[in-house]
Amino acid sequence: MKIVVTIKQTFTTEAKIAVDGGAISDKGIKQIVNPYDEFAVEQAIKIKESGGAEEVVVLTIGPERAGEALRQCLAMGADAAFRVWDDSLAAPGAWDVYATVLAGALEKMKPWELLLAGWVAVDDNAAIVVQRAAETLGIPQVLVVNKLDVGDGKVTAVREMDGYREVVEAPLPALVTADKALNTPRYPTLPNIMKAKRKPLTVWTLEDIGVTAGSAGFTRTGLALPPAKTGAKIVEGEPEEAAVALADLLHTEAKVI
Amino acid sequence: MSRVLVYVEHDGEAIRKGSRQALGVAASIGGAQVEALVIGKGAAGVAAKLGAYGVTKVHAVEYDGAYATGVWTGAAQSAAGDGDCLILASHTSFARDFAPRLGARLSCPQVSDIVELSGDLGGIEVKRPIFAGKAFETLKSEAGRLIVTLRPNAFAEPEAGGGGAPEINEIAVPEVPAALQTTVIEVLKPDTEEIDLTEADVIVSGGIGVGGPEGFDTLRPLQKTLGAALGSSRAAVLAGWISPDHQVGQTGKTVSPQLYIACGISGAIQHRAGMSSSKCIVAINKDPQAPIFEIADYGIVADLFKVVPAFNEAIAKIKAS
Ligand SMILES: Cc1cc2nc3c(=O)[nH]c(=O)nc-3n(C[C@H](O)[C@H](O)[C@H](O)COP(=O)(O)OP(=O)(O)OC[C@H]3O[C@@H](n4cnc5c(N)ncnc54)[C@H](O)[C@@H]3O)c2cc1C
Repeated sequence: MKIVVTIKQTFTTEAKIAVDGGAISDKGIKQIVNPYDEFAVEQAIKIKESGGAEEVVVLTIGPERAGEALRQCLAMGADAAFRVWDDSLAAPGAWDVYATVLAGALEKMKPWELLLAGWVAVDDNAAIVVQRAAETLGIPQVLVVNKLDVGDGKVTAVREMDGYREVVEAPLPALVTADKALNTPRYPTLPNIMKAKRKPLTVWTLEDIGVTAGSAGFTRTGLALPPAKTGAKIVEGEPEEAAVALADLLHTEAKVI
Repeated sequence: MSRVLVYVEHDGEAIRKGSRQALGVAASIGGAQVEALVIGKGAAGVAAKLGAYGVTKVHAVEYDGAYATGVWTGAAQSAAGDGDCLILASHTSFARDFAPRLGARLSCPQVSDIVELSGDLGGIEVKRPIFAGKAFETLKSEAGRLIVTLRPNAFAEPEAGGGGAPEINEIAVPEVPAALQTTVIEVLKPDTEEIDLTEADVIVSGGIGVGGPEGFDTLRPLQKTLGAALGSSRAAVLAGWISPDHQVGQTGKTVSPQLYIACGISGAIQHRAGMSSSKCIVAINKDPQAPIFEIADYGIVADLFKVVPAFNEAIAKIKAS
């Protein structure tokens, strides 16, 4: 069995966001594998280590810099990496185009049986692209998964719904997206980081995968930081008195009680 | 005039709050013809209620089973039809699951988890948080067909009332090919019926400052008085004091209640990512330097074990009067 994991390079979650020339500035910001994608990579490697798969391949859409994220996945234990890029993909709001590109690349990478990804990217917060590609590829999906078994030509997964969980089965090939409790991603060891440098990393253009990008459904017309807060109104006094005064303020001033 | 189709989620009787908010957004679009899609057991009964939200036509699928991607996607595809249409849904676990696939089927763009919407089909503008609320982007689409999911609680709930009985278009349960079939084998309900964090009006949240699993018992009476949901920091979850369902933040739930009360939570950037869009934030923390005070509207610098019980009593008094 071959597993493909789609990943995205994102800012670290601690990153301070600044706007520069109408775009989010990446100056001085450390970039990582999107945390949820890391769970997906770890799961794929675990399945391989337990004999459930022969090969783990990672795929990203991203500029040259995203190669670092792929190298990290290779250092974790993935066997090969693919990066698709075209400068026309740099504009935000192009989830539809990204899905077309991803589906094209995944088509070219066939045969594979399991597609893993993080359930959402922490930067654009969209949770659209890989599911949309799955529909195009005609495979089922189980999203936001915290427990996964693969075998007998199917996946059995525990997925998070609003306020409850479900145990769900789906036939392979299938897409499964990872949530945070799925596993604990390993840190690559130094020897594995060295080894990763010699593992194959292939770069594809849109032509290579036979896709014409088309125009994106959305274009970004504005970007802003949230309005700065002025700091809390501190309610002074003995704890018990302050508590009563606070209740009063919430009732009469903030009008939220 | 544009067609707006709202996916309405329900429990067999009541309409989910996020869906009511989506109906409000639909009605606010000038001159729109508002239609709805209702799927599940009790769909017909729910459909009949929708006239009060300005819905003139309901596509109803009477379906007995658990949520299934193929059924929902297929039903939404039939309801959307061929022409121009703006499809709205609350950004729930169901919509997150079927909306992207619907976009592929209808070959139309989608945008998710938005907090503002203006304009009309052909020139819609939406605002949405990116980088966990550390920035907001505005996006425009000129598409005639579009799918938009709305962040729960980011939009006001409309007044319901009046309206005639909507026209009902019954849709047969769509056939799902075997290769696409997902089967729910078991539903795991939480031990207690908690109020859903994402739709809660008030959230009482506890962190490492509550000192242990029993520390949450100090918050429970306040939670009850306020009819609130119970939230927590990730540190409290990792400590094993409370189940992960309660975690608010970058890797937990994203919430925007009217009132968020953070008790013994330092306000790490990843926690703030999940709650900074709350309308009113209250922080109770004994450290005056805690970063939570930077984004709070009101704060008390003191031991939460002294503040919370007195606060609860004071609130109970206000509620009773
Ligand atoms: C990739 C990543 C993702 C993360 N995702 C999340 C997430 O989704 N959600 C999240 O919350 N965190 C997340 N974190 C963790 C986050 O960085 C913090 O570690 C965490 O939020 C801290 O939780 P806390 O505020 O409860 O604990 P602490 O930071 O230890 O703060 C405890 C606070 O309680 C106060 N206190 C102590 N005793 C009392 C008392 N008796 N009365 C009043 N105040 C008291 C202290 O002054 C202190 O401010 C993430 C981290 C990473 C790296």
